[in-house]
Amino acid sequence: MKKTDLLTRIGFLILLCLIIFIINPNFGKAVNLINILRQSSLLYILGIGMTVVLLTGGIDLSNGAVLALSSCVFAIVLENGMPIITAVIISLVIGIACGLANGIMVAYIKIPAFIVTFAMMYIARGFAYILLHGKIIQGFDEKFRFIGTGSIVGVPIPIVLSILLLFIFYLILEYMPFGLNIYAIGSNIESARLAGLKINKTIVIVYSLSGFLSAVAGLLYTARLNIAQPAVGANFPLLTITAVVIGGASLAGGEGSLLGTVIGVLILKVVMNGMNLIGISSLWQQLMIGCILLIMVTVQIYGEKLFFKSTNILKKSFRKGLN
Amino acid sequence: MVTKVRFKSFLLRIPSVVLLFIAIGVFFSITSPYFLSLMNLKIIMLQCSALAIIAMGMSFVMLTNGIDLSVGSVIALVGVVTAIILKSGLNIVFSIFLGILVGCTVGLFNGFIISKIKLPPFVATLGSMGIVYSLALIICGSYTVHWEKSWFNSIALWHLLGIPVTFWITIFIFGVVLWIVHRSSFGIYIYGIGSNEEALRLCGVRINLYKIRVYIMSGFFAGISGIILASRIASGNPNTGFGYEFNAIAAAAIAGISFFGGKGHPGYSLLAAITVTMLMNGLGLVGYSVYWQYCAVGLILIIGMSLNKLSEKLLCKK
Repeated sequence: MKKTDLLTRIGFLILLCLIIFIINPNFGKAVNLINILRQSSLLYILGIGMTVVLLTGGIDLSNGAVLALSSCVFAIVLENGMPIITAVIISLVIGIACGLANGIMVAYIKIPAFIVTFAMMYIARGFAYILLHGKIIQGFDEKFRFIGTGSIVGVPIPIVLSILLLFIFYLILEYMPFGLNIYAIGSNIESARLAGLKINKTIVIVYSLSGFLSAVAGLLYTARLNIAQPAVGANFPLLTITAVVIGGASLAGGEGSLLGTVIGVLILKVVMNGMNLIGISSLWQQLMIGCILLIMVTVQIYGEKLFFKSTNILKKSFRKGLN
Repeated sequence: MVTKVRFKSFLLRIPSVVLLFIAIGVFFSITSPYFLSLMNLKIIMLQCSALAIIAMGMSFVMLTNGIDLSVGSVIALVGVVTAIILKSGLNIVFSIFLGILVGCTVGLFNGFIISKIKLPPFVATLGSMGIVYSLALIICGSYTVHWEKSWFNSIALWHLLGIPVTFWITIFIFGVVLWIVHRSSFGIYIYGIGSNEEALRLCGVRINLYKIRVYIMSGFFAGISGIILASRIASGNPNTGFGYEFNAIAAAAIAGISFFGGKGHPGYSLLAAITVTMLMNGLGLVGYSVYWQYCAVGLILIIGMSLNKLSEKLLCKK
């Protein structure tokens, strides 16, 4: 079942790429493809965090704001003369702290995740503005900027970083008990509780991870664009959720995978890049993305029904054939 | 003894909004001499109107275990459509009517895909949010639309008996909401769908019809807010309304509307919208910048929800 879902999505992605390539062969150029991958690196990292949170049946609306906060904290700490390493560590810690706060409120005080992360979104962004006094900071050290602009063996570092993180979290989700716990909590929280799984701890860790990854994305953003501004990422939460849902995750929890998220992000970015290349005005972008989201989810819902219907028809004809 | 218990459980059933409203109101009345001035009260009433109307619409949607993320984009689309019609010189009442119709159409679309195609409300309205926003951009070519000065611009400026007309509209809608909840079968079915949809379906109630109607209502309310906002800024800006859906959901949540449906009274959403607006206004008067106001709103959300959860727990113990 999961495999056919993923295959449909990969097929859709390939179809999209083919269509765009036929209309404008520039799409297939290595420069363009690497560009797509590099521009989507932020979404991959944020997507890992959102996937893990969605798998537990929750949601994280604060990832854009934590991204902004961590990048602003980084900039302020640097301005106060601290070394780069200290600044990086402090901003990662801030990200984990925000995620920790989210997780504790969701798991222990049992406030709906929507409200908690929405409140955190306001609080984190407010702090980001307050720290920078409403201004933006530009111009960072060359050594730090290497993370965003440099390459290893010809591959841009953002891509390397996102592939590394994706691989690590893939292993955790699929093979480690912690990952299986996440799926269990999302599928049926009562049986997870009865089975003795440590639900509250898992939820807290999951949201802390999301906060940590948002902070990593914030540092990557600052390194790539050489800027720290509190306004960044206002549309990131919904964009990430769109990518993860297009990739097959369910908002009720329990369904979804990192591979699906990767495909979802790719579909989004390919559509945006393709529309630029074909010459469709960017005003139509949101419409395309919205339609793709609706179509994907519809196919997912009815695809299951069609799948069962077709296997039932096959079974019946098989039995008739036997008789 | 019995009356004591009943009084306590009555107190616990009141959502935390009321407490927050009183606390914030008292706090700012004491700390700022301007807070209770007539001018400031009028400003609060003006600023909370659009949010209050949308929050009440969102409450009904949430009561059916749904959500409507598209209201922000609907505000943008309605503003743009109304602006274009006004610019072409057509009758003002006609343009208002068309604007609200646009809102209802989006609501119809939402209701259709949620009830007939059975898409989850979050995803469905997430998709329609993008589509509607895109439509707004396309229609106006991403430029703000202006029109010749007309009495439409003054809807936001008019006052009746000292209270802004926009707030009178809000009060009228509040009355409609009260009527729906207490006096109409529509309201009862909405609560029923949220509490136990299967049971109602087995009783023969046409669930899909009611779901479609509730989303049309949300779109209708969003349309009214769109008109109010367009009048206030005297233009059709495709970027208005950005983020309104989240504010509305937050207001509905503090007002005690449960995310799982069936619990809460939409009337409290009006109070929640007023409270949030009061908070931001008061902080501004005392000298805190907009950024501190954002933090405060986030904090109030958490406090409000925690109090609601606390009273739920205490009620259960009884």
